[in-house]
Amino acid sequence: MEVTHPNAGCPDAREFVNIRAMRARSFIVVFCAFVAVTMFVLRFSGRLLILNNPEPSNVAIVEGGDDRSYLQALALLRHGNTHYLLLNMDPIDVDAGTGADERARAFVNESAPDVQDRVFIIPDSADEDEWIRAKLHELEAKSVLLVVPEASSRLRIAEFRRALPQYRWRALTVKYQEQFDEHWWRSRAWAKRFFGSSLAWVRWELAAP
Amino acid sequence: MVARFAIFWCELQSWGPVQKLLLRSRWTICGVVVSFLLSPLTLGARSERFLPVNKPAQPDAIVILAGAFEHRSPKALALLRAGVAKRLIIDADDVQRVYGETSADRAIRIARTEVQLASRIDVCRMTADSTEEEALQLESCLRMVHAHSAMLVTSREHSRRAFRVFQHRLPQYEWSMAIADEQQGSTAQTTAWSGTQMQEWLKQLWWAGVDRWKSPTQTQAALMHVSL
Repeated sequence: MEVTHPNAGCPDAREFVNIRAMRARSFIVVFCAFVAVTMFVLRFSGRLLILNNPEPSNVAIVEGGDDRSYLQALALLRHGNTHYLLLNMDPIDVDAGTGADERARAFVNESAPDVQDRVFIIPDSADEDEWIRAKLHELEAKSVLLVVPEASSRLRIAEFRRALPQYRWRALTVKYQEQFDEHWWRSRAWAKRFFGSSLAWVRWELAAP
Repeated sequence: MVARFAIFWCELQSWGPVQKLLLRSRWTICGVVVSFLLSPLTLGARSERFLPVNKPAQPDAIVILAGAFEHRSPKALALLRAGVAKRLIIDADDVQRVYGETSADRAIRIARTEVQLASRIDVCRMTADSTEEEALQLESCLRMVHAHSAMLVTSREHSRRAFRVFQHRLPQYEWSMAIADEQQGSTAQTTAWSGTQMQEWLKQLWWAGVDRWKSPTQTQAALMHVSL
């Protein structure tokens, strides 16, 4: 029995119907492939933010994070894996009495009296990039190890490599379990950090010259 | 060209009414989608127009929401000095320790330097990682100072979502808002600001689509107390 299409009067109407059916099937296949690829990428996207390739370096910079990063870097300094330590942790609010860098210095003197002369703290008023640039030059560094939280490690390394390409850059990631994990979809806090870091990375890639 | 049009016309004849409607109104749909995408940027920049800023005139407490304390505290302290409220509560993180101190420790130390006002300042130690959790944890601090109304002090871009979250989670309190502006000048700051706007937009969508519909117990997890 021959099937008559409503638009049988049109030229090659049945062919159109076949083409549309084929298009619909192709669309479904492409859509399923797209979903599968997206799921695959998202499954491993947490790892894309992490770069962990530590090796002994002339200078270690604690970039972001809190005292957990500092203690890890201090262990490197004491074991001879680095000669100097630069501290650029998350900023401290400045109050009316002593400045943040003074309190930081007091903390370092108390927690690491044996190596305090090899630990440098970014001053309150300093421009971070300029201060790090000048300090690395002053210390005649050739290689630098960045001690950095996992979620921002790849971005930070990319930023420093682009700003100061004359040094050999390596990263040591510090695990902040309450903030981030590569299985970011399992926790609200992890997902929040994942999207924040991903967005920062994309913005930096788009904005960087 | 004519042949293509003929084929298109024939296909169009076999389309359903919904498909035809979509085709005819495609530019309208595009306009609506673009407006929807841009609305958080435009509304976020003028959020105070839609919020009860600086009302009520006499809240029981002023609350500095956690984060960017150095930008928010001058505004809150000025309000406290002006006698807008009797008490100031500082929400501060008690998890991350930098140079041996948490944000809560620093807030306490800074509060003590305000000799004239110190007795009217409380620090609410928090483990919250979101505005939602912050609202739930702040509740016990508000109860301890017997407050029934509060004025939230936060940044411009955070104000809209913060107000909605606090009003939704703690409807028994009367809420108002004071906006602590941060200076926007250089290109880098403007770029950072647009990034903040984008993040805030995503958070607003997440709040409207997910968190708003959760029961409060799902996000209430941490212990808390007020220390003077």
